[in-house]
Amino acid sequence: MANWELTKFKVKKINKSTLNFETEILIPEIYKAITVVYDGKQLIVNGSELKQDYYLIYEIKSKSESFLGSSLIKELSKHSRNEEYLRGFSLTKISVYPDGTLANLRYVYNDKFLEFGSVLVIPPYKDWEKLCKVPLAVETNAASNVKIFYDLLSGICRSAVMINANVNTVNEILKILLQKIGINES
Amino acid sequence: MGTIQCGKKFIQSFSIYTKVKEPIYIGGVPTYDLYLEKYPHQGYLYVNGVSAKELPAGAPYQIIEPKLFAYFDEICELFNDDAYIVIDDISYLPLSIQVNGKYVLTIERVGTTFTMNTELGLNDVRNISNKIENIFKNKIIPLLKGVGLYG
Repeated sequence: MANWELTKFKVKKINKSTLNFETEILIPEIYKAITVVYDGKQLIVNGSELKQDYYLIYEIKSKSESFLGSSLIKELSKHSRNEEYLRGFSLTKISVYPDGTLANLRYVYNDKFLEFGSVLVIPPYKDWEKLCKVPLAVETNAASNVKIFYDLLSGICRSAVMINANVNTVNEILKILLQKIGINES
Repeated sequence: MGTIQCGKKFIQSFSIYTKVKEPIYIGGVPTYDLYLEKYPHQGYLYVNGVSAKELPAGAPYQIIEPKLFAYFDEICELFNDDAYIVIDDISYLPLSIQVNGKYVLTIERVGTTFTMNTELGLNDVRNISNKIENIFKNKIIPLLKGVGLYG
């Protein structure tokens, strides 16, 4: 059984400049939740600023940025009429099982979103092609008709390699943070 | 929305909506909105509930019946078991698929949000939808257009 559980993972960028990252890890054995927040300037763990570690901040920042350059977010941008004010990537409906953690992946551009799942997040699929072979629920407000909805479904499969890379990046970020805060990986 | 009912890889019944620029006279009334149907256990095409061959100038409709039903059979060949497919009127893409009475795909639109639930992988959903869309666009629609039952 995992000695920690992921309960939140969220990245967003406001007005093309301010990057925010937030994650929450629960340690069931001691009923303790650890929140890690990057507010664009500093890394805060459970409300306290983490001792300056520029390499760690750089790693978190650059890896978080990689979610926001996703081809799915670019696809969503085609359906938004507004100037960019928000990009986001998050895990929702996180479910922890003995064999792994499932979650929905949610990509956001302004008021448009595309969410699909459940995807095996921890550990990631070994084969990126698995994503479009397993049943997925899909939800979006970016399609104005059925044809566009189907185009977005195709977009998910065309982006399967990138989505797999995003899931790997989630794991890399968690690994870095768990090491930093001294929690053993299971 | 259109419907297609398949049994043992053959078309059992269907109902699709089309709109025509040149009216079809049904009971002497010029009609532009058409519901083309095949009923279970009947090998004829019906237009708005009237057997197509009984309509004025209905001979061409009767001639296309075997080909039309064969194209629907091609859709039914995608499914090994009994299937009931609901399709979008405009794109001819599936909105829901039931196999042996059980939903394997549903797409719903509430307000501006589309939601899809499925027991199939996205690759299978795309393969099935592409085949249905292609059969409609490249075979069924041109056939109907040729006899004035579409467009």
